[in-house]
Amino acid sequence: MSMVYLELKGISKSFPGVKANDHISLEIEKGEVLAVVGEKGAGKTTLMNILSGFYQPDEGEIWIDGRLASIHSPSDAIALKIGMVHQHFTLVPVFTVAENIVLGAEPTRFKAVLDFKGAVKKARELSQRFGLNVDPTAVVESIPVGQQQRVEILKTLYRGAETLILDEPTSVLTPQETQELFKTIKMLSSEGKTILFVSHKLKEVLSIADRIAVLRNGKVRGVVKVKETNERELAKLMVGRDVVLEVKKSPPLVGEVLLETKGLKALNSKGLLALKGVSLQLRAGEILGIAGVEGNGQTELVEALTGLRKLEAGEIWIKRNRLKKYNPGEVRQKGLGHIPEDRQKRGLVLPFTVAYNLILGRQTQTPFSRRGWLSFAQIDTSAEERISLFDIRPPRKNVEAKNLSGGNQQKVILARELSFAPPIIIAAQPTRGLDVGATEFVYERLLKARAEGTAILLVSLDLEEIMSLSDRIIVLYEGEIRGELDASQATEEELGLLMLGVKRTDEVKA
Amino acid sequence: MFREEVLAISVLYEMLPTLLNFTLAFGAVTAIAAMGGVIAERSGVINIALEGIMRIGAFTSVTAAYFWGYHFSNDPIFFELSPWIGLLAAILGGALVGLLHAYICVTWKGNQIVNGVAINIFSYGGMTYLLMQIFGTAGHSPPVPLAFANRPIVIPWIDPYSFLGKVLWQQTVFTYIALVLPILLYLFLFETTWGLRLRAVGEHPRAADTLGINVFKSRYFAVIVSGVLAGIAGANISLGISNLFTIHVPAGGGFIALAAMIFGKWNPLGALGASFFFAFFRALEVAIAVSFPALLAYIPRGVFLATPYLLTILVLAGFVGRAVPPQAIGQPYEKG
Amino acid sequence: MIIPRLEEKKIDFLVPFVAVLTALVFGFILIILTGGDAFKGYQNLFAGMGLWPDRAQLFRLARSLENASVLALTGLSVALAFRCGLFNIGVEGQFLVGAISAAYFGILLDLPSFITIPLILVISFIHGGLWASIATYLKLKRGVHEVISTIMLNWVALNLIENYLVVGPLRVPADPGVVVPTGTHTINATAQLWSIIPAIGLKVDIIIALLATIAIYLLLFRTSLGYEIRAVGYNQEASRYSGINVDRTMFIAMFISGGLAAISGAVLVMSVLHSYPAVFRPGYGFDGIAMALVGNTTPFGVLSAGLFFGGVRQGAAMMQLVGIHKSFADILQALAVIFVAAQGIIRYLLIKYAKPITATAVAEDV
Repeated sequence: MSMVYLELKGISKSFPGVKANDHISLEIEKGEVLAVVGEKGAGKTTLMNILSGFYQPDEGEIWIDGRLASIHSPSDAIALKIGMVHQHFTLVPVFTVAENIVLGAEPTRFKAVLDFKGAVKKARELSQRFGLNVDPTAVVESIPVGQQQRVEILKTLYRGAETLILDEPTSVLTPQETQELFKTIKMLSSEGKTILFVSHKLKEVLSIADRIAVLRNGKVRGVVKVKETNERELAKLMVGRDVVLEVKKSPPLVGEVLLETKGLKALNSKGLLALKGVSLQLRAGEILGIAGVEGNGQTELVEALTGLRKLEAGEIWIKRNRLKKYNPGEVRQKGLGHIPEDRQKRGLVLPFTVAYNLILGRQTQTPFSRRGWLSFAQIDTSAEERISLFDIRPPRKNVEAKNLSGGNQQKVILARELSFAPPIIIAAQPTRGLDVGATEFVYERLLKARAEGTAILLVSLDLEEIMSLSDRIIVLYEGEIRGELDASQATEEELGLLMLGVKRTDEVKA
Repeated sequence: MFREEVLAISVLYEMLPTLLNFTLAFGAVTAIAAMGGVIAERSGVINIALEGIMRIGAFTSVTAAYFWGYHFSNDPIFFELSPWIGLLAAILGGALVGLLHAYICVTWKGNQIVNGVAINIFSYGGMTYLLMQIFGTAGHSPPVPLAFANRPIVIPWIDPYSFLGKVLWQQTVFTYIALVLPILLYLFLFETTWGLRLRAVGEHPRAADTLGINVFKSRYFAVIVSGVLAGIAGANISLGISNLFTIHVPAGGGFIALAAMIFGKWNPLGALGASFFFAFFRALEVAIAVSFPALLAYIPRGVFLATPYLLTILVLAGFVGRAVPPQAIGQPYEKG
Repeated sequence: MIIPRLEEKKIDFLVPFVAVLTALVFGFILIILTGGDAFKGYQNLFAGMGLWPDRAQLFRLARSLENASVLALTGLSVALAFRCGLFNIGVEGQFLVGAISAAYFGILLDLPSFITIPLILVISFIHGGLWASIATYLKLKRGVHEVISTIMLNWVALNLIENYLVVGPLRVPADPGVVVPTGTHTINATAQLWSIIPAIGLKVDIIIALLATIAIYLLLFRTSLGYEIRAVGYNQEASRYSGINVDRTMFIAMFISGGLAAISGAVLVMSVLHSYPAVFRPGYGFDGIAMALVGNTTPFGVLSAGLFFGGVRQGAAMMQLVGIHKSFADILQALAVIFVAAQGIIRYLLIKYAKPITATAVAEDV
């Protein structure tokens, strides 16, 4: 009884049109690791933002250590010893590690003068005490992501956090870094810290949490002990029905090589060599999966293939013709469709209507324009056709893309990229952030294209997705191909080792 | 022709103290306004309204000094205060406009550039209008009875005929403000906790917010201070350099302050250096125009005047060093 | 979470009107506060625009249209760049480039009018476009934000033109004893714009503005280039990903924008001033920003804003009769822009007090 440290009672929060949290009640004991799982949009992040003072709940109470807590701002949360590590780090890139750690509660001399030495000393003590190794004098933008996350954790510990909220902490980490993080979490919980671990990755949650709370549509659907549950039960709680995690796919009918690269080299946006000679072949009728931890050259590979990134060296061949001009327009002309990674930023012009978005990239081609003038009749008919073919809802061509749901936005992109039957499709993270229904739709369409003989290059950070969709899998590590596997024989462990570059740890400088 | 050039150069050398004197006087205006730019932009708010706020500050300071001065023309103690009352009015005027800019850009997340443009347009029309309503004159106000220009700072232990004496001759309080203010601002930004927090707000407001730093308050503070400083810079022109208000004031001074801010890479000391560097150019141009108009045939005046802006473009383009603005600049902060 | 489209569009449309109305109300209050007669003032303002039937009505209307042409052209310039995601603060400088170009070639060329006038317009368009292209180059190749570079370029243009060309190579030798600089020579008669109604001095500048408006409308909303310009303006990344040549599109948009600004300057010289004066009234470029914003960056919106504020400018002259300085026009314009900048407030109020409309809109949409 007295063991309950943090208690949420009937927390509700609405946004225009959505009830993000609907009478959520949870009890968390001191030193416990409680995982909060749920699909995107289940209300996890809203709940955590309420706890950390970003949002005020419409209803409900928060009790901490037997006292009613009122959290109106992030400072209130800090005062109540709640610390949050956001999914997108909230670090000032140009500040040093120490400055980031002490920001807002700086050690001072004469009340206002910043004591830099004191800050470094405190940061160093803290990092030693909790075994979170990081150099306090390093500038944050120059250290690897795993270390940046440690800085985030140190920030909360510096403020004496007793409750730690980790929002999707592993989404940016390598499996190795994830293991390190889990060790840290276990150590912190053994020191009596209460930990809320927000995730949608069931396997992870099963390995780190004591108990798991499942959210769906803003409600708590169940709180289970890890020892008494399994992945299947959790999945069922999360989506409210049995998910078919297996993808049904026909045996591949592999044809000729449609896309080939020879020794591709390209720089990343920081000017460092990110692709170090990638050679691969993509055949008609197959899905080639590119696996790898984020930031190992996938983005650069996709951008190089689609003409968005300059090549330092190497060749790209499409249907036995060597590409001479590398720009997106040219590559598109040669028959390469692209489903970009970030649909809102890169796939759609949100203020444009669905009809307009459906001709994006073909606006200068017949029948959509003639001698520079747009042909509205053609644009509209074509839009209507594709809206019904791809089941875009609401089925109206004049709706602005920003008013569609994520799933329907992705359908618009699929409709645009697939319906002209390009021989090659580059799909980057095609299901990121989509719900189960929309994900299934994307899978189905990609597999349909494959059956029709399209060559598909699938880049994804989601190993399950790669393994269930691909025919072959290539693993990228630090811009090199670390291995090629037959998807039907690959195991997650094997892939994991390859993704890590075998035995090198996260100490490699980025 | 050659002899004339030699003469020009040697006389220019003779004129060095005078050149520096001009440089200090002109540079002070730019430097003070540039500090206004630095503090606002370090907090993440663009203030291209410096020009307009300077005009407003110039106007309010003259108006206050004028009426105060005439009201107390028989009372020597209060009379002496009149330029200071003008300065106070400039501070208040600048603070008010700063508050308006903050209200629209921070609270209502309006476009910072658009609102800056609006303030600039307003300052021109509004001050012309008020000039007519208050003084009944068009284009410029009547002179104030007592300006800072009439009361230059005299440092007793410096020989007025020495080099330093000539440089400091007739300098007003603004010159000294301009010399001290950047140092204070530098210490504030880089040595105090408030400065660290303000910079955090300008670089990554969400990070600051999660640590309990109030982004809105910080930006309000910075933008109001920015307005105050621009107001003081305006008073510097109308009460420090001249003794009346002209509608064309500051005639691009606000934009050159922006240039100095960029040239100085958003660092107060850098911006101070840039201000004096630009001012030296202007002083040189004036000196040449007065003493050697023939020389202007080789280097026309317009080229001189355009140089600071050209240099700023070169710096921005990375041909000369590289200037990187605070990362969150221009973006309104959305909570949550 | 679907925000009804109708409502949003309606609000987009309403914002400029509310902004202008609010500006008028605030202006009204300002006159009262400064001890003027606001009723008479506004009566004179509208009469002065040429809206009241009296003897000088047509003459005033002609002046209003003259103002409107320049305002609309600079406004279109800003609006077009805006549509491509570029904030062209450099209209001021491009305007001066156009003006000096027109003055120079207006003096130089002595061909028949039907050749000279279009030729000068084309030349100044190109000059303005090239000047604006410096900012495009700096943005695309050197990563300099166009707001900063165009501010700097404005002052470079101003100083090189007014403190070098106009007082140097292009100077008219002043009469002995006259110290005040005089600007350039007068342009040839063949370079001066045609009149439509000579009696009231109505010239073709308003036709030029109207044609430019139609042209920009067609460009933006009827051509694939316009589609690309708007796509780039809304989402550069997505445009690039889809194969649009973003650099080329921005270059073209900025070139046309600079060209329009220059034509505006040229029109002013060819229609009204007939020479490049010693010192230009500053602020034409900033007026353009105001027009673009109040006109919601749509071509006909900008033209309407130009017509309104062109009229206000003319009408304000008649406010002087009741002791209100004509700079009141600038105040109104600035207030309107401030309210557009603060459109968050307007949107908030519209949504709050227009709830019944919102509710029905939702019902229709779902």
